[in-house]
Amino acid sequence: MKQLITIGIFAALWLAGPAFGQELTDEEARAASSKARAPDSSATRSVRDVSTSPARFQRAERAEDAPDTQREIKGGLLPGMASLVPGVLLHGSGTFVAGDRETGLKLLKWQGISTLALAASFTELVLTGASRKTIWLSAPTVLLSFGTFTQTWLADIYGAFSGAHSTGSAALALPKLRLDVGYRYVFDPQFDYRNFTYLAAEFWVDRVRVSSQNWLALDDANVRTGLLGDWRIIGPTHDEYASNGSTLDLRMGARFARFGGEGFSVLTPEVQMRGRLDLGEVGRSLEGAFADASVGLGFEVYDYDAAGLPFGSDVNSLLLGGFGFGLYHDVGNPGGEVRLYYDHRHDTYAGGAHLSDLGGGVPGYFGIETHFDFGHWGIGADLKAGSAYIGGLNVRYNGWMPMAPMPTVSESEGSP
Amino acid sequence: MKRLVVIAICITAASCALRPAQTRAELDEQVGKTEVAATSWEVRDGLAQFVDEQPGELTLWAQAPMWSLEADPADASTTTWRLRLNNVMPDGELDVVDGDATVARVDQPHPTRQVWDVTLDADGPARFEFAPPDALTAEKWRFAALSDVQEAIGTVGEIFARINADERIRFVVSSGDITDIGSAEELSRFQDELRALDVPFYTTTGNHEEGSPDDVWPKLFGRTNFHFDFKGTHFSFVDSGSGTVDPLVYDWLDGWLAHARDDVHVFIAHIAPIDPVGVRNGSFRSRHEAAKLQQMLAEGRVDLSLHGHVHSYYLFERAGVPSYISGGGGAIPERFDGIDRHFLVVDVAPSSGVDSVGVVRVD
Repeated sequence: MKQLITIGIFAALWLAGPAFGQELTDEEARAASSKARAPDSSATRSVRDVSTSPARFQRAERAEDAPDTQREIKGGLLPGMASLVPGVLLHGSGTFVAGDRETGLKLLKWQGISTLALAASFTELVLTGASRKTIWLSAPTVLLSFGTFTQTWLADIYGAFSGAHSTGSAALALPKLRLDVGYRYVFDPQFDYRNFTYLAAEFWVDRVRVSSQNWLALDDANVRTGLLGDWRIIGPTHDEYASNGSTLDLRMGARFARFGGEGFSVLTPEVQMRGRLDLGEVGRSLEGAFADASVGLGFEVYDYDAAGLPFGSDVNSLLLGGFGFGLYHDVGNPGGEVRLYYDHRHDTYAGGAHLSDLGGGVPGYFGIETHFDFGHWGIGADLKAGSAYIGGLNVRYNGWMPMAPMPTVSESEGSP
Repeated sequence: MKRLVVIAICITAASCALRPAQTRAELDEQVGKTEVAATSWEVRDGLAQFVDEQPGELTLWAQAPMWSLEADPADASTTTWRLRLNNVMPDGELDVVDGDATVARVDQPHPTRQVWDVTLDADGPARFEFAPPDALTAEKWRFAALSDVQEAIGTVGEIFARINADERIRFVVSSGDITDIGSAEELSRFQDELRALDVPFYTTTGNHEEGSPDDVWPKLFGRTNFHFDFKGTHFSFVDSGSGTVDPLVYDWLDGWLAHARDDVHVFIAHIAPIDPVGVRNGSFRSRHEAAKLQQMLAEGRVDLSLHGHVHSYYLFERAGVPSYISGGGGAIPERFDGIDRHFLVVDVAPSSGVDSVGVVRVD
């Protein structure tokens, strides 16, 4: 039955897809993209035209506007090696050797800041024995500072090898509707489930993205679902273009999981701040890359089947947070991204990684995800490793594609 | 460069190991079995370990107040054995329960150490039982709980002295982290420090014992996962030192919970399934597995759950099971919590359950 539902959803999308928007020819799409100029970096622009190809930020004009005195940035093997040695200790060494000295120094600065923050918060943890009174501050500080430390190094490696050649560009606006249908394999020796249907959907209402992710076990009485709302404070939406891929969201929502075989359910309301920095805003050699981080809090409300226990008999707090580093790519139209990430929450199927001795139970899980969009359709893949190994593929449908921006008066050849 | 990449991948892979406690669990099945001088010996359920073996002389370390020993001297030329029993109940005695064998106590150099001479019949196996006289009676009694000694091993004798001062305490249970890195040297030293304690000390492993190879602990202490009962009270010791319990152990725990369902049952594991301070997550690495275990304990009507790992004192309830974190053995303490070194004293009334759990402050 579950398999039939999955096939039915996919078939419905395949049949109904063309009703959700018009498609441009490749020539029209390229023409629309080339007209998308970067406005003031702090501004977003309303979407007005009839074309429907999702525009991606073209940074060619940046090179055209570059001062003649600007140093040539040339990535390659030598800068790449520098990003490893001494780059592993001095983040920014690679981009510095590649010629983007300003970016190299920025990365070094942020490495220093994150190192200090990490040292201070970790020292506090040790000296206080992870005191219940101070853990609320020290734990997220350790998480975010370690994330920043990692991201500066990864950014340096990327910038050192890529130089001024970007892997891709960010989407300036987003489809109003996005549907994912796929399969996930979960190998966790603690549980009987293995095979899952994965269903996800997101829909934009003004600056709010409403999303839902659902896992349905095909071989066990297990289901996980969630309903989340992201208020986009900064960044692209369906209706408004942004000048780059940076985002800042306030997320609120709840997730629910039912473990029928094990006899418990858990409801987790949560709130998070989530942000992404388009690293092209940091330096030329980092164009095409991004770094993200999140921090928040959840409360798990447990319901055990054991006799006599009412719903909510246990409530546990849960530190939410993580960080990632990724690259935009232009494979497909408009392309997509690949992202390497760490997620500290321990309440997903991936659980948390094992770290012996001091770290027992503390680390979260790691993952890598990617997607490729080809107009309305796309594919995605996801791998996670923690206390379980998870892998999967999904088909993506993008509906109500964003429209290309109107050219401005200064860009047009005549009167508007 | 390639070698560094391979090493990095291996480290990453190891950190994501799905069954980090698997080897320790599998080694448990070999505990309490040996063959010396053509005589096979086996301690039922691995509740004691052969820590030294010589023809004609065996040394055992007990992990339970009462346990059963079988000897089969098939075609053995050696029928007289000297058994050195360590970490045993002061008032315990070794008796022959089956077969033609004789036993005689030779010495008791320490309250928890006894020496017995055993003479086997070369024609057939024999079974022995070690137990105190009141092991099966159901009146009220008391035990203590102490965990997380770690680097404070030099001062643990002060805690033992306080425990000795309470003559009602029959033995001490521990959820682990008795050493800093779990090396053979540290474990041996802890066993030496136990000479200052007048009652036995039964313990599972903590995360600090993970630092050494998995076969170090069994050679000196025995099992990391085990179950025994005493005076109508059941004790299940489970290795959660890796922030998880191995699937093999869940199978054993199923049986222990079923066996103890109608009796008083105490569950002991180093890392608690869920940290009462959730943001800290000094607990299982998967909240799902933690909830699964809590549901098992609730369904099995466990009366008390004892843990360590956090170096403080917490009283809380999980799935209706009263739970305590007591990491007061002297390791670097949690600050601003109003408590330093301490241990718990637990009074049990087998007919009704756990009467009380008290905190004894050492500092």
